[in-house]
Amino acid sequence: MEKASVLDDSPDWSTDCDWSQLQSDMLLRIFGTLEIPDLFSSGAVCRSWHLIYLEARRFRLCSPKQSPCLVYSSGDRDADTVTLHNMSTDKLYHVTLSEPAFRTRHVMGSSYGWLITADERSNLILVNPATRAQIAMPPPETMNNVRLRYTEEGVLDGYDVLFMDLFSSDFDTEMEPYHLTLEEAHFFFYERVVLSCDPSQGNCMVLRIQLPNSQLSYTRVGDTKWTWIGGKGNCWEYQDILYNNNDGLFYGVRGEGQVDSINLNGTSAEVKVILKSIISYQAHSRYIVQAPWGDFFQIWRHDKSNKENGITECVADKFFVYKVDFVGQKIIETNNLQDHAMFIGFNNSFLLPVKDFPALVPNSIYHTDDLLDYIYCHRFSLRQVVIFNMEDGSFIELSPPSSNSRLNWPPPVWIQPSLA
Amino acid sequence: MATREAGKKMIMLKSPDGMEFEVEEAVAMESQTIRKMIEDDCADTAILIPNINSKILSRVIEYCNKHVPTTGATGAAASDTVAPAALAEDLKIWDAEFIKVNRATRFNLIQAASYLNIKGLLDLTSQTTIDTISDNSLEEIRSFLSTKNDYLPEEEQTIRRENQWAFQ
Repeated sequence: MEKASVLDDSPDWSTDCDWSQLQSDMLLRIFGTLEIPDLFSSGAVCRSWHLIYLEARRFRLCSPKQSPCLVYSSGDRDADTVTLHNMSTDKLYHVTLSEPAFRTRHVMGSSYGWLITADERSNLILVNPATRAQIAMPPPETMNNVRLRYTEEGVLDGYDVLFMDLFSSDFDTEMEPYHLTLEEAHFFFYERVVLSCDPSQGNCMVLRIQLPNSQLSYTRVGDTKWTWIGGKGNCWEYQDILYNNNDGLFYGVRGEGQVDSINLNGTSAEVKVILKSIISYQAHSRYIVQAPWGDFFQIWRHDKSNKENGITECVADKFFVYKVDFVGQKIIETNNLQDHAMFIGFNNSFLLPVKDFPALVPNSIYHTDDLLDYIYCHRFSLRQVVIFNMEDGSFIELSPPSSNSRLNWPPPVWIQPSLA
Repeated sequence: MATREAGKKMIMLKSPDGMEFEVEEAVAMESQTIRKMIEDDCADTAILIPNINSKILSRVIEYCNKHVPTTGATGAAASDTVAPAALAEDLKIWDAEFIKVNRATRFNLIQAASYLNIKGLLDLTSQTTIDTISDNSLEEIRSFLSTKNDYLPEEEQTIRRENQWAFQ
């Protein structure tokens, strides 16, 4: 695309050319196509553009076509700052968030342009890096199997986490509870978290996978507690979840490739098996992804151990992509994403068409390291960020621009920024 | 309705600086604003186009002349006719040349496209503005558009605070 600088710049200021007086409908039309950073810049050009910008924000006229970004903490910035690396332009944006410091948080997801983070007391905080708005979720002790633990002096010391028995829908009293510190508990409470919509709007449901046993619980933005989903005897071993806007249901993939639908619209949660188990054993990590054209995919990730300089690192080795056939109750391997790029990791998975984002690699998987067991043990070791090309099986390591250092903590995640 | 049998019917457009342009009705009707006037029978002999000087109006007519569908075009269906691929490619190149104008002319073309409601010209002029804005810093945008920063220092501070992405 030719830049404006090549336009004829011969002086012609005699005629009435006051860009600050551009008609508001024209400006709204232009603002409605911009990426968020460009929209912010435009909104700051002059007073009259700023007023139109505020109008665009108020009526939510901002473009939904936002380039995907990798979110992480930069070593050359302070601890409060979050960095967004734009995958289309390769540009970096640095945003200072409110307390608590970004670098002290665990980041275990992104959904509808919001980062899903936990602070050092394992409280869940949703934060939108574009608007810097934050929303607190109910604290961990509102989960029925979680108890606050105090020292003899009465100082809050950690959480005791009881096992839940799915058959009796009650605590498993024979199992010794987990004794967790306030901070490490976030690895247990939030394996995956997804939202049903932008949490700054209306009735937003929040579903999470939690340890032990990768069970489910949910809350709503504005609620005061978490509600555990159990009672059917099989709501466990979930690996990934998503929200399907078309039918208003959450979908969860389990260890054996089984897919359940989870209906949170009624008074109590309703879980149904919609794809029977595919294999009789659990292996590797699975993701469930919905394509913009409606199809569902399961992604199976195989890992390997890299031994370098005496350090063993666990990294992704291969991805298998399967289209889910709910009618035929089977999955079909494919290497064609219809010229889309897929983004997986801790984030709510998404697919973007390369025709809208030409810098992306078509039929490829953009993956951030989300191997929770490994991150729990090796918090500051390498967090791999790779592009896996499904057509030729090749991996490209994605590095930050040379001027920037990408820290391994919090774990980098994908986000598609949103002002909605 | 005098417009339906408008094979070669001519229409007069007048600019506020007194110039007159005789154009085919089909060409003039590339503008939805003029189309509406003609269809509502508000345009007997000449249409005065306010706010658009003769220099800009002649460029707009040039654009419409190039973009009016040439084959099988009746007044009503003109703008819906799909051009063949080669013609579309030719038009794209022509558009790119057409919009290589200085900022003042470009600004006036945007105003004209907006007032006359000419979809293709609106798309073309807004896209060049989007290209100006996209991926440039705030200072660069101000300089390209030659727009003055009219904030008071304290207002600028507030906007900087609320809007960090724009100041990097």
